Amino acid sequence: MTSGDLAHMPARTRRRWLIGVAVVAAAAAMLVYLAYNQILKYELLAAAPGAIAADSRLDHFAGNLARPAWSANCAGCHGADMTGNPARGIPNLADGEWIYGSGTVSQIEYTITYGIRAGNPKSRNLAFMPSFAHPNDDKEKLSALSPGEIKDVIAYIFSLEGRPANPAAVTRGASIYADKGACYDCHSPDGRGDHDIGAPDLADRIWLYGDGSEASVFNSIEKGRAGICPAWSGRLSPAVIRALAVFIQDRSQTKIARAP
Amino acid sequence: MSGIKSRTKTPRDKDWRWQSFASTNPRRAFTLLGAGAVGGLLIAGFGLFTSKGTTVDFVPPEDVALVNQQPILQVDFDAQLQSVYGLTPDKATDAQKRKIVHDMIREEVYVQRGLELGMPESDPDTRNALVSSVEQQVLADITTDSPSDQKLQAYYDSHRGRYASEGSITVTDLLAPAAGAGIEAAEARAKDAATAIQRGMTIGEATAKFALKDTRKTSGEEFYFAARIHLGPALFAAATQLKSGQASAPVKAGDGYHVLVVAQNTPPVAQNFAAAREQVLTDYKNDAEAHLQANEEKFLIDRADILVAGRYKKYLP
Repeated sequence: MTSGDLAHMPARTRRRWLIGVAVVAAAAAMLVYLAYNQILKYELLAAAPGAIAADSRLDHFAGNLARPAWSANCAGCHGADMTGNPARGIPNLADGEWIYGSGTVSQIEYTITYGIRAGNPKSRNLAFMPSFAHPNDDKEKLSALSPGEIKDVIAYIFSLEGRPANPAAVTRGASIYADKGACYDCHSPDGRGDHDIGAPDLADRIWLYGDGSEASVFNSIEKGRAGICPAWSGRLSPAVIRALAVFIQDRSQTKIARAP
Repeated sequence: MSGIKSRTKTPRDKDWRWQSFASTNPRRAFTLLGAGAVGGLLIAGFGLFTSKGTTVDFVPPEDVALVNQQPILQVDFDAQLQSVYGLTPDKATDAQKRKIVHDMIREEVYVQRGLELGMPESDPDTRNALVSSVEQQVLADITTDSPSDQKLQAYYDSHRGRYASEGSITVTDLLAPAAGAGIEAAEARAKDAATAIQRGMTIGEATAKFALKDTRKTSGEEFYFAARIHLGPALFAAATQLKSGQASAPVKAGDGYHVLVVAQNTPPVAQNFAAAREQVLTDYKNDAEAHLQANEEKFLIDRADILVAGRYKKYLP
């Protein structure tokens, strides 16, 4: 077809031709857009996780991909601003402190993919906080603690944070921490936690559950804790999971403390 | 299409043009139809005759390798690198990465070989791991479910008795032994001791004066559950009836009469829904998991073709 043909066509036919051309052009543009998106997804997955933040094009793409996924799947628990909910033990992801790992994109990606105590065989599930106010029948055979012993352990933990505490109680608590309660086994001898198994740092003044008051810490020791995060493998695509990991990692750099 | 006059044109017509859509052209229509059909058949045939399940000849970007089409995921590779060397992928050396790739491929081929050899049927460790994995998989949705507060509130309302703080008690158990003077004398001593303690006598004085023995079954302030274990149900029940500073009436037991002196008693306090929410959620999920597990087990057993030897039929559940 030449321009001369088009000029000599009846108006109706010409209009049809132009509509057809526009539709084909729109479809082609859409295809190009989808193809470009696929290329970016490929690049996002193929890139070294730690290098994505430095690539503004990929970082921007990851943010665009992650935002709707965050709103639809994660914000329900972690909140739109990622600061979590201490009443339910949902961690603040924006404060730059991590329970598992040190907050690299690949570690976050692993947690999103397999979850925490999520029933997936690869979930992070190496440890949980036992209840010390009940006979403990787990493999470790931990002794239950008396209310006084729990209060002594809390005094010791508060001393790690630099909070004022009764010195005698701190001494007794340190002994229970290192012996009868076996707290050191997960939280480490200096109370700084173990990020490989998800045991929180007890000395950083950040509390996963509650407000860090004696009553709320007592409650955690008394009843035990074992939070969960779903495994998103199979529900979200690998590209979206990678994008979420990058998005969360970016956000964590803002170091926003949770509102008191 | 009213108002459009068209007629079928043929190559004999002066103004016939193959590419003109202004007129109907059967040759063009059949040519395009045929080309589409042939193209479709070629694509289908290619897929059919070259397919090996979902075989692909390229490694998807989220994978490090495909081993007999089984993917080794990048996320697993990164985790293993972190686990073995404590390094992120951008910090690991080529040699370290090579080692991890080799290890993961090795593991995958061994797993596949294990399946070929029927390890799940014979190896107890593999079987246990499989059972555990399937149990977890079945429960995964419930484990990660976030039931609404209305559902949890309804559960809380129907199990209110469960949600209370753990009570604590500091109690001394004094025994008037039956051995020696006899059971009646022991009861009399225990009664006198209880009365004296109620009137202000110290435990030490009462123990000495009425020839009692501190059983030392408890040690300082204890949670109710611990005191129950240490004292036994009867003495525990008697102790929890007392207020701080009270002594019990003599309680008869196999070894004589016991007097329980309570220094402090903090009974369990019922928790409202907000305070108990985490525990309610745990219990809700535990109940749902138990229910689902039972259903899953029934379903699997029902659909299985199980033949039981005659002599064992009586053991069938």
